[in-house]
Amino acid sequence: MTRRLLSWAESAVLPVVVTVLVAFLAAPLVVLVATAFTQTPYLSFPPDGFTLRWFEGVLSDPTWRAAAWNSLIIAAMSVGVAAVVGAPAAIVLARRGVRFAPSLTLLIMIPIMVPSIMYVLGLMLGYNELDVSVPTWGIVLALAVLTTPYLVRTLMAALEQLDPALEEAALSLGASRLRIWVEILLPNVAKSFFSGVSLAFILAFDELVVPLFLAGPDVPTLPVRIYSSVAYNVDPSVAAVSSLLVLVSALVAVLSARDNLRKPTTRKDGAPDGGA
Amino acid sequence: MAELELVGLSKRYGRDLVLDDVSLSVQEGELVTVLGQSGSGKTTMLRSIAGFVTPSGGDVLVHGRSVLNAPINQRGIGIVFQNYALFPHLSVRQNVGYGLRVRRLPRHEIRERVDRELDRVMLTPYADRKPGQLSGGQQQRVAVARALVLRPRIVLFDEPFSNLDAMLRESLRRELRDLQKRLRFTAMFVTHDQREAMALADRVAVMRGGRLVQMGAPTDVYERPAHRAIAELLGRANLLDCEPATGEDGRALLRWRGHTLRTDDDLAGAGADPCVLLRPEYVAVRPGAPDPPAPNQLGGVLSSVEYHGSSRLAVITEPGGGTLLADLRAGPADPYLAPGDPVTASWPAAAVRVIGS
Repeated sequence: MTRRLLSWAESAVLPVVVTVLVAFLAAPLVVLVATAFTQTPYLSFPPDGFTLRWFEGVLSDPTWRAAAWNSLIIAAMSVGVAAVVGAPAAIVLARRGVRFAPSLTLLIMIPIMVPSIMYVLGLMLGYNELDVSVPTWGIVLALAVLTTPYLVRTLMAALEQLDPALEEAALSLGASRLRIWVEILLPNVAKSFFSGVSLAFILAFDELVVPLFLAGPDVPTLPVRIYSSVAYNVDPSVAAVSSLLVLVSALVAVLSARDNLRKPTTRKDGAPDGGA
Repeated sequence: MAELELVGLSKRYGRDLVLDDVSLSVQEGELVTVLGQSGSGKTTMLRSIAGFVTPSGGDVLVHGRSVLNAPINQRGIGIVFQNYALFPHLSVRQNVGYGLRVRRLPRHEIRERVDRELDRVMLTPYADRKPGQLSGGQQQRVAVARALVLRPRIVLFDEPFSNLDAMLRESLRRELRDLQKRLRFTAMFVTHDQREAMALADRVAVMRGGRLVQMGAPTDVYERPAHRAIAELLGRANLLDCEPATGEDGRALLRWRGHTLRTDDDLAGAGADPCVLLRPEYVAVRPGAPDPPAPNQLGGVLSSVEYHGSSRLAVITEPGGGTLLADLRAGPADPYLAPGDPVTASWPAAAVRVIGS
């Protein structure tokens, strides 16, 4: 009885809730993307007419292109650093019986628990004190610290889900520790690792506070450039850039989520996950 | 020569003696199941043999040679894990060939041996599938093939069915038994399921509190448990604490709550307070009070009946408050007994087993 009631409620209410949620999340994006096509020289919604001129302008403007390039390079480098530091950390922390593993994991998670503005303020003062004069590296390192937790978490979760007997099975068949990692364990967490990397990449690419505070106009990344154009002259170029940014983020997200969505989740018959 | 021999094997974790002086041997082609509850030491024993655990004392001999100092993969032991632990990203062929590849055998030899092994376990048509695309039975065969392809002397099974539902376990159990008989490998199979232990085994080793408490053919262990705890571990049991007495004819007999029990067992060594095992399936129940009173029967009231489909488990309460379990055999002609009915329980003298308490 309760179950039928519940399933009735589910089938009636769930679509509504999901629709409202999606609408709520997507509405600003719709406004943003629509405004990018307006013919007026200012932001206007609903758009007045239709033109691709703002997109053309942005794509041909060297400052926007430089900003995009900066963002790309910085995001790639910081995720590279995060992966080099985070992957071994996750591998060690996911092992059973590692001393202080919970405390160390917590330590790695701190950057996402501290409000980023405080963290960046602290970094700013620290960099000043140390007289760090290469702002790009300052940003890269700061972003690496901020994105490492996401990478470590996803990789740890994937490793912890692996059947510990996989390792013992390989051991009993004569494989060395290195072989076990390279041939058995890592291939089974590669997908999760790459979705962690993409998540970290999107976060680093979109980050405003870190590059703004640490470098400002010296190293204008895309978000910094958007921020300054919103502050000084608001024209639909900003909307066009932002639309492109949304498009790229969405593409990365879809690419990394694709495998996870398709992955079978049943373990009922004792079959190891995945494989298909 | 025994294929596998344990000599006084012990394992201590801090103060806990998890494995206490276990000695046993497994003959070539034999399937020994190790039965015990969690904490009985059975898994530690298996892991010591495999090499995942270093024993604190004793020795493990494979075909007469101590393997304690040998690395895991050079002990002549194959292992089939819980949930099989097949490598999910590798095909069946790659799974089976993994151990050979690690050993750097020439490619054509790997191919030949894998093909032969797949053929033996009838998996050739599935060679290129991934484990996730196989049924439970097929996965089991891959796991067995992956172990057998290295030609081990013994295959250890670490509760491979423990996470499966009852129907599937039963069919996998039969399949494994057939496979083992056909390919004639020596096997040790650890389980906490008494039905599984008895159904699979040539011999059952019963573990309790880190010790090997009894080892023998399934019927021996079931019918002649060395200990009341073993009797309970292997199935439902009436354990009756009796007093020795002498009958009018001068023959020794037993008394339980005023009821007289006769047994075919020798009572000479039974001691002052012998314990009797009476399996519920040997207790016959009929309606009405006993008339006339006789040994090996008692009158009581049926206090409950549990329906099991193929049988029913009855609890009979005798006037003194003692209870007796009895299997009511199902059948269309079986008299319908309801709780509260007066009944008579009776059993043959051969079913009265005197065991150490």
